[in-house]
Amino acid sequence: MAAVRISSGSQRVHVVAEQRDDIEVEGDARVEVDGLRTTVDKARSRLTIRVPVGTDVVVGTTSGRVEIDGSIGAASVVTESGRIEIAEASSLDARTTSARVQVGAVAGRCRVRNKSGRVEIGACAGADVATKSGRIDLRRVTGDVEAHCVSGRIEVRLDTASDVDAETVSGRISVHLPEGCRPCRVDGPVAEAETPADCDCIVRAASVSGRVEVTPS
Amino acid sequence: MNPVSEAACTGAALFTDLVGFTAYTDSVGDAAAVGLLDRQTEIVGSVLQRDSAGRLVKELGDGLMIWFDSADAGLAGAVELMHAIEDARREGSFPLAVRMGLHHGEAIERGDDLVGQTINIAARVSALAGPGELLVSDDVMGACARAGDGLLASPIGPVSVKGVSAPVWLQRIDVA
Repeated sequence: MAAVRISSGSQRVHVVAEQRDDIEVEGDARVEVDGLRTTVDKARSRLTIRVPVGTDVVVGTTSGRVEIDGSIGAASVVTESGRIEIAEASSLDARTTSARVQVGAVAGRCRVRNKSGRVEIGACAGADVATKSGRIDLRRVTGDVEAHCVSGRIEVRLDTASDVDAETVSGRISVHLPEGCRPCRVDGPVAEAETPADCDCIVRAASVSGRVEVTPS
Repeated sequence: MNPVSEAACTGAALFTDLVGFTAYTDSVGDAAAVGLLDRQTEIVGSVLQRDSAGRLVKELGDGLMIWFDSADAGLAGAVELMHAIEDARREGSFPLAVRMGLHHGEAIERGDDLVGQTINIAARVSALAGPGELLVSDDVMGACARAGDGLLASPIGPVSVKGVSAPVWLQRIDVA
């Protein structure tokens, strides 16, 4: 599978996945091709990179916004403050200090690390998200969830019965389980717990001072 | 004043950091927090004792800086240390997760300490890791003779480090 690696400082990076066989770079940057791997760096202008559908994409910027349209393979994005917007990926690893992370749908698992930016994922098959103050909003989740936040709010909406481990210090936690789901609430690590026969999933929602809501309870 | 000896060396710098140590100290008090640091020192000591290619350079608050003679030793040592800490967490003797960052290159020995860009970059790599994660630079993987041995690595992306002109490309090591 083709892979594209992109490095940019403050310049915006726009990746477009479309029906094509080659990779096209629009903008002023150095491009190196090594077999199936293309590296784009030393960007001196805003970049638009057109790739085949399903291409793995690795992007890093300092403050440049990262926007990915279409359906890509594995997405890895790291930025200090550039906003991250991804339409569709097979899996996701995103790391940022203060950027907002907005993702449409991820076929596999999402891993997001953020300090102060908000994290919104429209659909995914499981997630591992940690922020300091950024709000975490996970919707249409069909796999296990780990969500950790110090002061931001955590909201998880599950489409299928899955284990949830959500923890904040002061932020509110809302876990919405699918209709008819029978959760077992635990206080210890979810990974260590075994699901009892009369439960569909294990939920740990722990906050020192924030309100916790699990529905249906 | 005695002059400090200085010599160049090549190896791998590992930085570790306890996730949530400040909040932990706030909730359990200083004495218990110091106890946790002692436990960390004990775990690190037992790992490094088995591997003579690594040495604890210094403690940085709740973090540590460890130097290994080679990239291979650094990668193996970091993975072993992460396993030891995760084992202690499962046993209940270590309540916090640790994050780690590893970079390979040259450094200058200054007495017992080490300085240089390799050290600065390793510290930056560590800061990007999440709880229970080990991130390494491409330089580590490139310098490892046994980089692929039983380890799964996935790309993270390039990061900029203050004072370093080229971006540093990172990978996440699956230590599970």
